[in-house]
Amino acid sequence: MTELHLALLAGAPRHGYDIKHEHDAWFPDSRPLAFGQVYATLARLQRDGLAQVVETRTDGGPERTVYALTEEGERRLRAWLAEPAAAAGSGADEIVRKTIAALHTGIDVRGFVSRQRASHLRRMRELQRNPPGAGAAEQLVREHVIAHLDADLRWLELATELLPSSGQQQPLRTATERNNP
Amino acid sequence: MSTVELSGVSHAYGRTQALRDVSLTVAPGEVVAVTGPSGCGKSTLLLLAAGVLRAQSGRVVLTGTDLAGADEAARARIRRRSVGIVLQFGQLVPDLPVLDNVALPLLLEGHAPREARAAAAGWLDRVGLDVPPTTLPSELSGGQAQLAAAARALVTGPLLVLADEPTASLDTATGRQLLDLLVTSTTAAGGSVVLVSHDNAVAARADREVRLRAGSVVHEVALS
Amino acid sequence: MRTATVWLLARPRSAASRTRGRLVAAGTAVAGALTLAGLAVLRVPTVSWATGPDARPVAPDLRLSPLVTEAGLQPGVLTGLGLLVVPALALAWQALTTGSARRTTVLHALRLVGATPADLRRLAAADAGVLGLVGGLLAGPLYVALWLVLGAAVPPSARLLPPLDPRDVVSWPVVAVLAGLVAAAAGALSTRARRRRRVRLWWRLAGLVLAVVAIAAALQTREVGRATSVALLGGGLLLFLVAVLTAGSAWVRWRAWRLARSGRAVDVLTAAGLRGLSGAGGRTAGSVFVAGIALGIATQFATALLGDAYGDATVYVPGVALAATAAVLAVLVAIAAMTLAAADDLATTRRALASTAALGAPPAVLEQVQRRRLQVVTVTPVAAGVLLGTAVYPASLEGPGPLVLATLGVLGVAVLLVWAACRGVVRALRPRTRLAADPSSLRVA
Ligand SMILES: Nc1ncnc2c1ncn2[C@@H]1O[C@H](COP(=O)(O)OP(=O)(O)OP(=O)(O)O)[C@@H](O)[C@H]1O
Ligand SMILES: [Mg+2]
Repeated sequence: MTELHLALLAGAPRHGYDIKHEHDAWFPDSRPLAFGQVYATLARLQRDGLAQVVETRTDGGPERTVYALTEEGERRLRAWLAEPAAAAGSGADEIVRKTIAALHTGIDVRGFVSRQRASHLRRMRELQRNPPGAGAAEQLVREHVIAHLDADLRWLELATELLPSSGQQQPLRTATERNNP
Repeated sequence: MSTVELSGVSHAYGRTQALRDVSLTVAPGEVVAVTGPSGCGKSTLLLLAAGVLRAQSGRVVLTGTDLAGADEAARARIRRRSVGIVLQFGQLVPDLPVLDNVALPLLLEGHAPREARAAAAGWLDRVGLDVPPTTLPSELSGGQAQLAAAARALVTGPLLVLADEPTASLDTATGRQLLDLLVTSTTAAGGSVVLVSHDNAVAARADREVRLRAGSVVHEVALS
Repeated sequence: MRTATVWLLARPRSAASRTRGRLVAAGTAVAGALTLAGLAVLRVPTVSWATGPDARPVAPDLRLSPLVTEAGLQPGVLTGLGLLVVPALALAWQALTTGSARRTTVLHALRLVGATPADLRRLAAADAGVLGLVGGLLAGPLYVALWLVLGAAVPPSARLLPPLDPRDVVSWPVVAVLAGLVAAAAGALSTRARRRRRVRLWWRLAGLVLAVVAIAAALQTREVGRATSVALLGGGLLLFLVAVLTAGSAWVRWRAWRLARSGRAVDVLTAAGLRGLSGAGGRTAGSVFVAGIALGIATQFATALLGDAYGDATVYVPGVALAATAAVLAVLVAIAAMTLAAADDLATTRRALASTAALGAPPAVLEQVQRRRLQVVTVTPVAAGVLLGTAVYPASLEGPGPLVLATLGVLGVAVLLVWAACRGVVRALRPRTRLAADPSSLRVA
């Protein structure tokens, strides 16, 4: 999150409220940023010398502190962008956890797969319907989400194909069974 | 009245049972995706809906006509007036320039060649196929052939577009555009679209997904 | 569908379809010219040497060969001409239905966009009808050429064709129009999805027996009159041809099955190629077999003539020459038909060929496969035909010695020629094979 805040500050000095809105505009389909998190992060950036307070404004409303990047902050941002993102594949996603749990317990696997598929497709459908006036960058963010949902679905298809094709669903063997064949 | 209605349809090629007791109703203006693993019977379902294959059991009603009682000529006429087909492998007529290929349904319907070609040129432009009109199908790339097939399917303003993997040979962006064109230009006029695909992004364009497996429907959900 | 559309879609477009058009027209032209010749021969009054209460001696027309003036011999000439028509028509039909696989693709694609069976018939009839009409019109000049060779250029005692006559000018356009109509009908027929109904073995045998009986009857009963004789002989021969031609494809499939069992790459590929062309291959094998029979019979007569069994031999020379020409022509046509089928097969299976090449089969192997396929359907049938032809109707009165020698000689020459023709054809097809095996064919639909 740190580096993303640096990126949000890179265009122009901003106060916390601006940062939150900028973030939500950049990532229209992800969880909105909480104000608390913005201020906590800005405080940390200032402490580490990556950002500095440039101005305190009061345009009739509440007092607002405007932050800007320091040289160190900009260097950090550039270094971050110079590194590719980790090809995570952590398996920690909720969908993986649920599917694996369904396979292990054997609780309505087919139903689960069907519901998951429908839910993913519905989401993809929403995302594909571009709101009028959406910018290229916003569309690209949506496309990224779509691609991920598509990857999830492909994985889910694989899971369906690996299921026993007919008859009652058999739970996978438990760890104890595996250890004592 | 539904655009096409298959009820309890089964079909076998020799000993291969391709479809077992499948029912599917497509309402006017509806977009339905048919998905499923390779060899599950998707293309067979499409050919049955188009009246190219005859159902061995069950009933197919296409734009109000029961195909069981229609002879080959009658089925061909329904197909060229109300149905646009885009098949998996393009299926253009070899040796016929791409412009005439697209104009073909209109020509068969008895339109003057000049009008038919003008309409065809318009659709070639809309699908974004930019080649000289005298190009032969063998001189097109796989994706270009698919664009031409799509133009040919749309040229009559059909009530039903049946598309089998319409975007399989296209890059993501072109595929998305073609899909948009197929869906919007058909549904805007109250027509329906049946999309067969392995691609989830294509399935997600639909209002409803019908999933086949080994010739039977395993799930059917509304997406809208 | 408008007429303009019919022409638009029926017009030949590729070089291959223009070649096909020329062959259809050529085959029809030859058949038409031969029909005109037959009509001319029919005009010649015949004399019968038969004795009986109402036999009146009539002086034969001495400006013509006795082959056409004698009542007993004229049916033989007419049948010979009729037999020559068959390979010419076979070539036309083969060219018309050529590219069965490609035509199937076209028909399927047209059906898909909603062409009715009637539309397809109209397209094919327009295409073939024009070609037939062109062939029929060419038949006139061709007949004149034939007349120059068989009538004007030879001494009176060997002339088979009477002088040109106003009636020829009348029959020409009639033949041309008929050729167009027949070709159009054939074209329309060729669009029908062929439902392969197996002809029962029983029926084939019955047909064969009937054919042999009819031929024998025609040869035995010289007194039944010209019309009956020609009808019996022609009908019998036609039945015989049909029986042999249908048996041909079964034989080809059997050969393919045997080859496939051997497991050698070339044999397995040849077998696949034969199976794909079992129809055309069977027709070729059948025609070559019949041509072999004609050669065999001609050999017999030639031997007998050389042995001077019939006194004045020159009278029969045109007949023997006609039979030999017919046989050679039939062999050439059969090979041409097979070549056509093979070239067409190359065009339609070029993706398969290219992938075979891409899998590592060298071009030499592909050529070898082609040659094998052509030889399988020609060499054995011609040999079998020659042997049968010499055995079936022993005309020699002088013991078997010279006949056996002559047969062996003709057999050797025929087999060698056919074998060489196959090599030549494959050689001539080499550029097409190369082209077909080119990787760029991999992406052609
Ligand atoms: N013409 C045919 N002759 C014999 N069998 C066929 C024919 N067409 C299809 N089949 C068989 O019928 C089954 C269903 O085929 P179909 O083409 O409908 O599958 P599909 O779902 O479209 O597959 P894919 O996703 O690979 O295109 C398969 O097992 C296939 O082998
Ligand atoms: Mg398919």
